[in-house]
Amino acid sequence: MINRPFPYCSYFFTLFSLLLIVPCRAEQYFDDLKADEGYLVLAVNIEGMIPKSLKLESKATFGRGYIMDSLGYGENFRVIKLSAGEYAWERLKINKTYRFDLDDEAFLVNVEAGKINYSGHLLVSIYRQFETASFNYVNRSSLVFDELLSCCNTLRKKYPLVFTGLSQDPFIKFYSDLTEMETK
Amino acid sequence: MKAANCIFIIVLTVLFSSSSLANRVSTFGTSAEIAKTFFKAYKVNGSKISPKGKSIAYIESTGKLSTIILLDTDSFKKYVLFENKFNSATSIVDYYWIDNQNIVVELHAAGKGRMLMAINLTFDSGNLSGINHQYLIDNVYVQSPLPRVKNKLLVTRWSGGVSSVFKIDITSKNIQGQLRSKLKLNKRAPKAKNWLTSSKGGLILGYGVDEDDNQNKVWLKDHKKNKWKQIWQGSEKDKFQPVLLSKDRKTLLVISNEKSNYSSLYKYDLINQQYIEKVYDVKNTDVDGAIVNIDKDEVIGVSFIRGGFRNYKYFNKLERYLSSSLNDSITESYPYVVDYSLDKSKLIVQTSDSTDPGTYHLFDVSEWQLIKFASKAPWIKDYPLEASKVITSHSSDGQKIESYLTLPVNYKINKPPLIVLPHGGPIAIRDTLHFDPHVQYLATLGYAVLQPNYRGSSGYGKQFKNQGMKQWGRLIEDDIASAAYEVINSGVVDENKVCIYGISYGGYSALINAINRPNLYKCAVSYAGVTDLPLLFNDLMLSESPKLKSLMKEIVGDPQTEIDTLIQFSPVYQTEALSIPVFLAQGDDDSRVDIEHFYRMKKLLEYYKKDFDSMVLKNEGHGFKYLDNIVSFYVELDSFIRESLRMELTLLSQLRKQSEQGDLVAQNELGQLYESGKEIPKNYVKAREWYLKAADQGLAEAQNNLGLIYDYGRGVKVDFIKAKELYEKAAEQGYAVAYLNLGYLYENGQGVSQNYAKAMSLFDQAVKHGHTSALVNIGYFYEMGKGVQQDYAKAKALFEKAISKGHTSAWGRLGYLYENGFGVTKDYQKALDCYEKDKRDWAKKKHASLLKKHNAMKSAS
Repeated sequence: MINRPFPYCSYFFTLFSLLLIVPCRAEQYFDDLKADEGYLVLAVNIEGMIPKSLKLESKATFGRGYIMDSLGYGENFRVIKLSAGEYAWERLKINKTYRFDLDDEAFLVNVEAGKINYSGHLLVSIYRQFETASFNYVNRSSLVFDELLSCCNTLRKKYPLVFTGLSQDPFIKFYSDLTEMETK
Repeated sequence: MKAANCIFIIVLTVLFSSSSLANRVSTFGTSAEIAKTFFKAYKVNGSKISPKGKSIAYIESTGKLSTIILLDTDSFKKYVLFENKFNSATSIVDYYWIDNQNIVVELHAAGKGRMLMAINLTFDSGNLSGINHQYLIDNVYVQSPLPRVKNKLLVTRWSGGVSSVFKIDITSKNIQGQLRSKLKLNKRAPKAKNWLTSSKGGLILGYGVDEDDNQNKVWLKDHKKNKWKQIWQGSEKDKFQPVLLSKDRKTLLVISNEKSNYSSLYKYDLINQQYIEKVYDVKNTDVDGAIVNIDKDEVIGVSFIRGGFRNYKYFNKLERYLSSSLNDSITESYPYVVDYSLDKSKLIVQTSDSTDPGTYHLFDVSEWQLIKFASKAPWIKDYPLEASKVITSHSSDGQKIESYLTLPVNYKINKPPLIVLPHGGPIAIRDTLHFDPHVQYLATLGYAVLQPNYRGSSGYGKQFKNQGMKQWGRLIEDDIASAAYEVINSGVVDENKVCIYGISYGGYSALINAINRPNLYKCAVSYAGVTDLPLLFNDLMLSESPKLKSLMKEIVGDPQTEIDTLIQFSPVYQTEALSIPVFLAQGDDDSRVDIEHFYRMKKLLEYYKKDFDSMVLKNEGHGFKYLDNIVSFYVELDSFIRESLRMELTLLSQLRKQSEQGDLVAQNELGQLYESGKEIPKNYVKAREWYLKAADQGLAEAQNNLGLIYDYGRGVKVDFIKAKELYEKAAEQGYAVAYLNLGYLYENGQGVSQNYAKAMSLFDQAVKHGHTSALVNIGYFYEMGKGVQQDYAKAKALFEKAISKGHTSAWGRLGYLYENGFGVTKDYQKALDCYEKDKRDWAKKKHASLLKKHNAMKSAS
């Protein structure tokens, strides 16, 4: 999928429910979830050039969501806490001038309460030469296992990891059962 | 270059040449050398003749450049029309003769898509006198080159799965303007995916699957009313491919299998909506294509695959040429016409068979002369290859299966091991008997190779194709096994040495058979193999196309209703049962079978501690694009299979076997083998892995080599601190070279504060521990006054001592003293003699420059 960029019109984007942002790698402390909250694993792979930010927006409430910035080449992992509900990757901002709008029906992110949710890896390739970008959305839950093990094992033991992406995926439960990581 | 750095290179060279074992597996060289020959880009491809037959164009590849060449059909003089670097952002997809003076090239650029470029040719007295390139437009495909219409062609632009067709004039200054919506040729047409056009570029008929109801439909344009009318509708599972509309627009020639199991060419009555007659069929074989003449008023032939070879049956004089003179002239392989001039006076005839990738000939009808002008891969003739042959077997349910067997040339002397090579797909793909570099490469290494056309393969009728649906891991694998047993029972191969290897579905098949048929297969290799069937449905393309998703469910199974079956036949979930060695490989840029399939399988193989090896090929997609990658992969594959089948081992497999058994020296040598890239393709990741294993267990040489990996940033980020730690560990054990390498870090202030005294002391330690080349380093310090009082006499003495120990790099330094008169009488001749004895580039340059200076002085005097 290749989208042409168009001039960026700035407007205020308000974050309502962002409580905690945790870049992976080192074991972190995590709050307990409230009844209507879930943790979300954000996984974005960047190639070509580094964009300024990516916007995840609630499908139900305008302005609710999360802006993922401080991105780097390759894998970018975050674990964030959000209100349960349906979200979508909406926009990739390159700089003040250019942005790409994503098809919000394709890049859906579901957050179920009381769980660690993973909806897929967003793969982004930006071609500076032609001012184009391509996006793909793939399930790489095996990498999520590794990342959570390195950064968030305590959290992982407290809440079950679930895949909430495009289709059902028995692998997470299979591997969790096998490695006895799923304790709850 | 500083002298110190030059010495460093020599140290590395000595380290990497420590092995005396050879990696030879055949008289034609190592598996890597043979792979480089078999998989390098074809020299010539895509030959097409100009409308008048005056010129032939083709794409020539050198591996670094792709070039469009023009060949004069009278003089056979060659001209370069366009050059494209192989690794540049753009690549040549195809090209078309628009008329006798214009060629349009389709290019592809990553991040941009397709673009068109025109090459305008000027001829003077029949000779090419001018070439002009002109960029035309982005994001369009050539629909029809319209060779009967000067300067014009039809192009298609795709957007959201909908095609828009335009006629463009390449001489116009405003190409983009010709793609305005009001100029769209299918403006009021239905959403057809494919079009039949007239020779002048008008749209006549549209056809394709209507995604709204998944029905196959055909629409005809009523030119008088300028309206489109649906003239046929049927199941998308049946083929109904329009070929040509009759002049009275009452009948349509179609390739169809609606009324029978096999696709044939039919005449269809559009008024009464019924088939009138079968125009051409082939017994038990699908007709898969029809050839329409350039004027688009006659079907001149059909194509099909029979007996493993592609056949073309022409209905006109082309058939006479082929069946008479051409067949008499070409006895070694199968001839067919790939292109011809408008008046059919000149033809391009291609020949190919299982040992010949293809040879192009020009057939001049008026002269009745056949002239060979290019071969796709002439170097293949250097290898004696066996012709492949057809094998027939019967599967578990009695289904007849056609397969192809290729034997190595020495199969009569020793029964060869067998590699079963199922193709990808699994539906509507097939293998043929035409030259396949993968097959003949493996045969050259000494393997017999079997390619089964299991159920689901194309060309054997729709029932056979549909029988392959939802048979992943089931009847398809029975078909493959039936072919393997047929070959084994014939006694031509070693029944105890059978492995299975495949790509994509073939990779899946290799893994599921490794799990379910350990009695038949002794090892398995999967490249880009599907490992988790439910994961196939976690795909953005499927979520965006209900049609594709529905097709996937038919081919694989429905994850909503058949999840248990999908799990049962997914290698990932059945890994525990695996009992034979597996080699798993994957490109990291594969958009068809995502690398997650590889990651999951690897994770499970590790969890269950299975015997396996794995490899990720950088930048590679669903197949092979880069020669280095394919060579690396096949060297590993050969080594893996030899080890698994306990065959005569290559150096790689021997070292790997010893390494896996915990031999530290072998682990270090294996690392050196991967790092040097001398006997096998370079692989820094694997080099680091093996060095690390040996270094962790305390082998000083491996610690030093791993230090070099970080010092030089080979496959990792440069990390001088890590390098220093490793050198120190090796030095603590008295490993002399490590002192030298550590000395360099102090000399250059890398990872430490610059300290010449410390560096000098480390060089001295290197000498004391037996690494006398460090004498040159110490001498260099005295020469330059680094950390010591400058002392040319001491430097000279040290260089001479190093020379006496056989270190030729000291000659260069000594020469430098004589050239400049440092501590000695200036003597150019002596300096020249010294430089000559130093083999490094630095010394050669010094020699050349001094010689020039010396000669200039002599002539001046």
